Amino acid sequence: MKSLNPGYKLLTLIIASLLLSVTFHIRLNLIIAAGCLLVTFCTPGVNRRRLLLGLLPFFLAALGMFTAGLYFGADGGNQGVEVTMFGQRTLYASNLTTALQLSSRILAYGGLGMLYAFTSNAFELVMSLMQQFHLPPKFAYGILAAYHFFPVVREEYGIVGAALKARGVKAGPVSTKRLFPMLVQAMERSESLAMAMESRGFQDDAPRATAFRTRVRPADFCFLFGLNGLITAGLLFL
Amino acid sequence: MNKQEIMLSCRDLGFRYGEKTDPVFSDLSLTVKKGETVLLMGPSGCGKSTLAYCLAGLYPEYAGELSGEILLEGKPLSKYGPASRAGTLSILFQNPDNQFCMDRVDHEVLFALENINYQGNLEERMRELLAMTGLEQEASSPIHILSGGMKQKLALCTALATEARMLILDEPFANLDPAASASLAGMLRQMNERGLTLLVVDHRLDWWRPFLSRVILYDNTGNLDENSITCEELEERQEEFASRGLFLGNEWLDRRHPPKVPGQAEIMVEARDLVLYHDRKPFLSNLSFQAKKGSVTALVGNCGSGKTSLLQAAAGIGKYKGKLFLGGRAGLVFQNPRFQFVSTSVKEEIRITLRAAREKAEETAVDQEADRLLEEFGLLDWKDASPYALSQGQQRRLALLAMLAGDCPLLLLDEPTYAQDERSTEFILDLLEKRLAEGLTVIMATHDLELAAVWANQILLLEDGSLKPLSSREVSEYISSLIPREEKEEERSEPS
Repeated sequence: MKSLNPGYKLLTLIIASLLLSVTFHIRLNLIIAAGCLLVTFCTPGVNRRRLLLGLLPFFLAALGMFTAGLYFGADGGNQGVEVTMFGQRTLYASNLTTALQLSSRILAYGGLGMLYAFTSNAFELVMSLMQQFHLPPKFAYGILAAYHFFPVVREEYGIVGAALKARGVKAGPVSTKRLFPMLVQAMERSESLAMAMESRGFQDDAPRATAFRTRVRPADFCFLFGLNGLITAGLLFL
Repeated sequence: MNKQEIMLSCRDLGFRYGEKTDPVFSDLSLTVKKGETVLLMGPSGCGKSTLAYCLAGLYPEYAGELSGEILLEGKPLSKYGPASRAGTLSILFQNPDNQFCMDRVDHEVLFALENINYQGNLEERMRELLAMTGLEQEASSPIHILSGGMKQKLALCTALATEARMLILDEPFANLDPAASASLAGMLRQMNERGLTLLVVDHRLDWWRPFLSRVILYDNTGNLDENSITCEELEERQEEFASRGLFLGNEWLDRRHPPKVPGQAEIMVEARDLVLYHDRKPFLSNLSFQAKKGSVTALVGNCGSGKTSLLQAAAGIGKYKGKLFLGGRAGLVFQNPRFQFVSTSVKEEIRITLRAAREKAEETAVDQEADRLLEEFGLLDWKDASPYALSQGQQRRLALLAMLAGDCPLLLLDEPTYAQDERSTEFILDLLEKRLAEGLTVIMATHDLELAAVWANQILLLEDGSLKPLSSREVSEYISSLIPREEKEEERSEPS
């Protein structure tokens, strides 16, 4: 899974999410969720503890949706509107069904998201978007640089909090007192980053060598058509 | 002068940040020959960094308005695109953290090679450059875990990757310890001997002296080449340096001494078997020390050794276990004072601290006291300005004052001399000495071992997770070992 082209993998999973979003197929949702999680769990190098922790919000949201659907159905559970698409019921307001439809869909999205997040690398994704999907280098490297600043910003958030505490100033997690110095710093940093890129010879329209080549292999197309073909078949026949 | 010998020149150069602001410099001329190491010296905030950014082609694109002409190898700088310019001339920023575009060491170097459309084997060239700068072991390390010295070496390595024949360096040693500075200076010297032209902006001379072609004393107008001083003339023209608040060596430290602390002075800080935590894991243990009232304690050690964590624990904002006694409230001034400002005017910063410390004081009394303190700290003229609009030296003084105004008996300083020139540092030391005499206790974390050696009552080295007291003699000997005197003498006697 890790060797797939990240750009094509993203495209595959976006199409899969769109297919799932127009229907409410409980069994298919659960199969997708379980399949994705199984593949992610078995992929070598995946931090399984982090995967389980990452799934927690999805399980909680699914539980919430299940409870809401079960007890607070819009029609009180007696009647409902039935909508169909691809020959599938997209809405059927029996309370238990609604609950399962809503919660299983969240799990399916969670599975697809985790499959991508835990088997892909942000750097390779940006390279693939640049090489296969013609994202301009200016945006690609800008996104990467901003992404690399996340740990620095997190560290700065802690420093500003500590600095204010040392002055005896009370500031909540999103207080303007805390965010203002960070905003000033971020503005300066964005300018210095642009200068840094230019000082290292970066020029958007100039020819550039490629150190990291992300290739598209037959396996990427197999994954793209295979997964989405299976979902479509599942929608039609399950 | 033969035109082919000239690497970079500028004529009638003028720059201002905004239409309505005063020019930073005007009618400035300068010529740098190929293979020279030229040191442009001037006090902090005089405009020399702005000139460096203009000469590197970054200004006026990113700020301000520029007039006049800059020629790089005889061709107007404005005719170069970023890629071709970087292939001839590159710049090293004062803070290397602001210069990295990628996450890992190898990615950063490859990024530069890609930009110049390097036609050979990129991977091979990257390894070669890393080996040249002693970073081959760090190829796949994330940049943010490197020490300050390694970061500057990586910035140098990336600049070399663009195949630049000239480097502009903006105070590259500002945040490095002496060992890292010596190592980087040695590397730059080697590069210079291989033909790399260096234009350095700095307020210190020491590391450059062994391979310097000439020093230029910065003025904001006129022909700077006329202010050139060769290495042989340095001693006899000391006065010119002093009049600008600059020093040839560290003689300005000669009149600094540790504060006199009576033997029976009360203990203001006592730490016993302290354990400090980082990311919930203990990373420093069995730390024990004492600091007496009116004394200065210097914490030294490499980047990441835990100096800041120890200060934060003492200030009550870091996690620790063990016994820590403080004889009063502690004020902490961070390395980057900009993170500590909470208001939009200089005076308001001080009023906030005064109001918190003297709850019952009347507003007029607070106002008067704020003015008095601002005057003492040389900041009264900027009382209505934004703290962020001040120069680095002024910001540090303001952060210091914002802490001292609260009458805290213990002051914790994180890198108080970072990016400060001697005049600015002396100003701060004078202010502190006055308060030390009144009983203030100071603990400072610093890379400036020379300052620690002459000014601190005790020096504590944080190394390998433990605390070791050092005598000032040990520190002085260590510093001398990094710059062999004989070599310096030899270099000075060679014609430049």
